[in-house]
Amino acid sequence: MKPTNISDPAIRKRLIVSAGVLLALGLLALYALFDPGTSILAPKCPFKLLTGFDCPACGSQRTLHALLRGQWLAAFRYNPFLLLSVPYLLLVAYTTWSGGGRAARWKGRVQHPKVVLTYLALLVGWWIVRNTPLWQ
Amino acid sequence: MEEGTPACKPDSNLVWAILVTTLCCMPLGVVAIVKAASVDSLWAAGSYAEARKAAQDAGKWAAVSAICGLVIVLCYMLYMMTIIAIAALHA
Repeated sequence: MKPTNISDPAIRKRLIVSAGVLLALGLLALYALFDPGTSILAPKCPFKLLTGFDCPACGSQRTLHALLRGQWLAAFRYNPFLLLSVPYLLLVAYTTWSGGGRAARWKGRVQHPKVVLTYLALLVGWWIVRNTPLWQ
Repeated sequence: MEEGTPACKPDSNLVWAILVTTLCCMPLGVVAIVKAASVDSLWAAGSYAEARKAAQDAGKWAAVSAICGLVIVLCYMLYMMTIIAIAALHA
C-alpha cells in the first residue's frame, strides 16, 4: 500500500478541500442555530461600526440565518441585493477559474467592463438608497 | 517594457474585488472593481503593461480591503469579549 504523504500535492489539495467543506458546514450550522442579528459575538460590519451607515452587504448574515430557517421573505428583506450579487459573483468565479471552453466563451460577456460597471453602479445605488428613508 | 503581444492576459482579480465588496463590506473594494474592470479594455488597446498594472492594483486593493475589514472585525470581537469577561468577573 502506498504510504500517505502530506507533501503529495494531490493529497494536500484533498486535505484543503475537506477542511474547507468542514468549515463551511460548521459555519452553516452556527448560522442556523444562532441569530446573528441579536448575538453580540457575530462579526459586525466594519463600515457600519465606523460610520453608522449600512454597507451594501449589511444583512448578509441575517439573510443566511433566515434562509437556513426557511424564512424566505425575511431573508429577502434583510438584503435583497444578495439576489443579484451572489449569482453574479458565482458567474465571475466560474468564468475565471473553470478551464472549459464554455467558461472561456462566457467570460467576455460576464466580465465585460460594461457589465462590471453596471453591477458597480447598481451596488452604489443600493448602498445610497438603503440608507435613505426610501428603504425602511 | 516588453514588445509585441505577451502570451496571456493577466487575471483581472475581479473575483476577489467583488468578493470583498459584497462580503467584507469595505468601500475600498469599489476601487478594486474599477481597476479590475479596466484590465480588459487596456489589454484590448494594446497597453499590456498598464493592463498588468491594473490587474495587480485590483488584487492589491482587494487585499487591503479584506485586511482592513478583518482587522476591524477582530478588534471589535476582542472588545466584546473583554467586556463579557469584565462583566463576568464583576457578576
